[in-house]
Amino acid sequence: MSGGVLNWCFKKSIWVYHVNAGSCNGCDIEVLDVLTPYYDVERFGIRLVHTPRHADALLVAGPVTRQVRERLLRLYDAVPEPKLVIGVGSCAAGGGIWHDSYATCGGVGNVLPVNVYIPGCPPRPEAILYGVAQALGLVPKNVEAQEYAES
Amino acid sequence: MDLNALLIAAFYTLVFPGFLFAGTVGLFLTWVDRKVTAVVQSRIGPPWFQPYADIGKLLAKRMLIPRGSQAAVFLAAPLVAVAGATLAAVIILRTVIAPSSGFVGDLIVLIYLTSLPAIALIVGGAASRSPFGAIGAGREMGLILAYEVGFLLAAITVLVKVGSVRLGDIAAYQVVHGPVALSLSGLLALGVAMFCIQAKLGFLPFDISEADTELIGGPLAEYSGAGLALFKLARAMMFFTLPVFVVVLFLGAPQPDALSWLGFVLELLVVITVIIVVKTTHARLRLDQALGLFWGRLAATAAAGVALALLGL
Amino acid sequence: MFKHFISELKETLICLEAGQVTLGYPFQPHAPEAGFRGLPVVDPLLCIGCGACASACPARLIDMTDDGDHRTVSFELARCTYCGSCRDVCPAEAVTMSMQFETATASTQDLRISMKLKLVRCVLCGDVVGTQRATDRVVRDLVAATGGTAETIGWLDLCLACKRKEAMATPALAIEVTR
Repeated sequence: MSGGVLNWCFKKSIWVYHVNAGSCNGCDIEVLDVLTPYYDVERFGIRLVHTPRHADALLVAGPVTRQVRERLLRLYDAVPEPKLVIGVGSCAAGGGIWHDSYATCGGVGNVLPVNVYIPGCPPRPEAILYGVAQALGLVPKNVEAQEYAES
Repeated sequence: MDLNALLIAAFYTLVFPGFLFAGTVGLFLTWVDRKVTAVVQSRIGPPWFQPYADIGKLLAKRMLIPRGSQAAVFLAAPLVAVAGATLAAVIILRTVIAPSSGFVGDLIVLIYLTSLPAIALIVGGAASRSPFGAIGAGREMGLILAYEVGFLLAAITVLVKVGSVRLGDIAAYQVVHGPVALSLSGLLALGVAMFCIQAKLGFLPFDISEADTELIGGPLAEYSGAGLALFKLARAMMFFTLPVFVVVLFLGAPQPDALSWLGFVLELLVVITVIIVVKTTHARLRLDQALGLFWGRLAATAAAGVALALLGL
Repeated sequence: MFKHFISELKETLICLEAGQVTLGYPFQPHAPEAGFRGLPVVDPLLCIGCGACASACPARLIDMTDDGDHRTVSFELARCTYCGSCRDVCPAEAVTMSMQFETATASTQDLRISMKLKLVRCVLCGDVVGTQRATDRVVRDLVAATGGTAETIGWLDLCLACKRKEAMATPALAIEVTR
């Protein structure tokens, strides 16, 4: 029962730490948009914190350049469990247009265990809200792989 | 001391009006703060259970202790903060409920206890082996030096007018002679005290030591999990205790009739609203600006208040 | 100091005039404006496997691989930049940019589109000519342009190299030089 209560507390109160892992700042601006009164994430208990020690979720934007990789790993270690990693943007999802560049690691998935990806270039603030809600298990997934074979 | 008295004291300290009561009401007031802030910022804001969910979530997180930090001090600091806040809540709320239950000098004890959370913050920040903690601790020390002067002078003004160091006597005096704030010296002292508790609570424009965007939390930078939860709880309890303290000192404790209690609660809400509105509309001051403000005009105003009280005004 | 406090209070009252500006999303849908480019949607029945989109994509996420008698066209939409070039160059108008932006997923595999189309191989040398659908489209366009019938169009099953060889070996196709 205590596990259920603490689980509920965790779902209702996610503190986010935003990391720019080589992003062009497009995704960072959209993350900032989500924090404005127009979209107001505070009604879901989500708050921006400025140190990874206070955070529950890492919001990573960018394809993870070689220079930032070590720091990103240290930030991940600094977040106390239980934690989530959310990759924001097409760069975080698959490396974006830098997917085969020598200077990047090809997306956050190659560096950290990611809970949810939010593709977009940049993703709309609504898309980021949807992705965070999905990480908390509040909304279902809306996409699935499509296969077709001509007979 | 017999077992009965011990159990009653434990009940007062831990349940009502101590830890549980002050903690619950204090957390509710932090929700009021966030909701009013949201309304001013034209948005919806969190639901009523948000602060409780925050504390619950923090208790569920793993607490990390930085390598090389003074672990014993680091872990003890949040406990000291909560202890100070709890005891302060017990003393002032017992005075509100039963004005004769205090002891001589409980006003001075209360002033010391309300500065314990800030001192615990300094010690915890310094023990955390983080440069942000060290800077934050230094800033908090400067801030304490700044506001304690004004706060003490404001309390001395009330002392001079009432002539006693007992909170119960201060409450009784105001029943007979009316609120202290209605006199000129009392009004000046109340104004200074409002500034001082804004700084004691670590709210804008005086949240210098914990500047989130500058110092990533200052002394709290390395705290996580239960330690952070306790510091936040101590702060919430202070948000309940300090406005009650100010109202009792300057506007009087409620008498045992419903109308008096209603007036007391309204006065409390007005004080809390002023704190929140000032917090929402002001930007952060630098430490030297805050020191200049507290040691300059506010200290002068408070000193004038004491002088006027000595003259009987 | 006091004047400053009063002006801050006035500002607060001005802010209160705006009321509550928060959108109802996600409890109410919020449709994007017209012209919004969301997730690309490919109609697998229209795609002719020409590869124009694969050339145009800046993220190079469209891959075409020939294997046996099938061409596999796959889209790795995880790294799509939503530029719309694939839609702009597609000759069959098979790609559209939908309004879908709720594309969050735990696995990027959910963002793959994969189509296998039948290939036409050269009857002489076995090299790839193109997809059956591309050939059908060529026939359709030539019939419409020349007024002929499908049976009069030859060499549909020859690769470019073999077509050249055939043309040079056919005297009837030699161009007369009169001067």
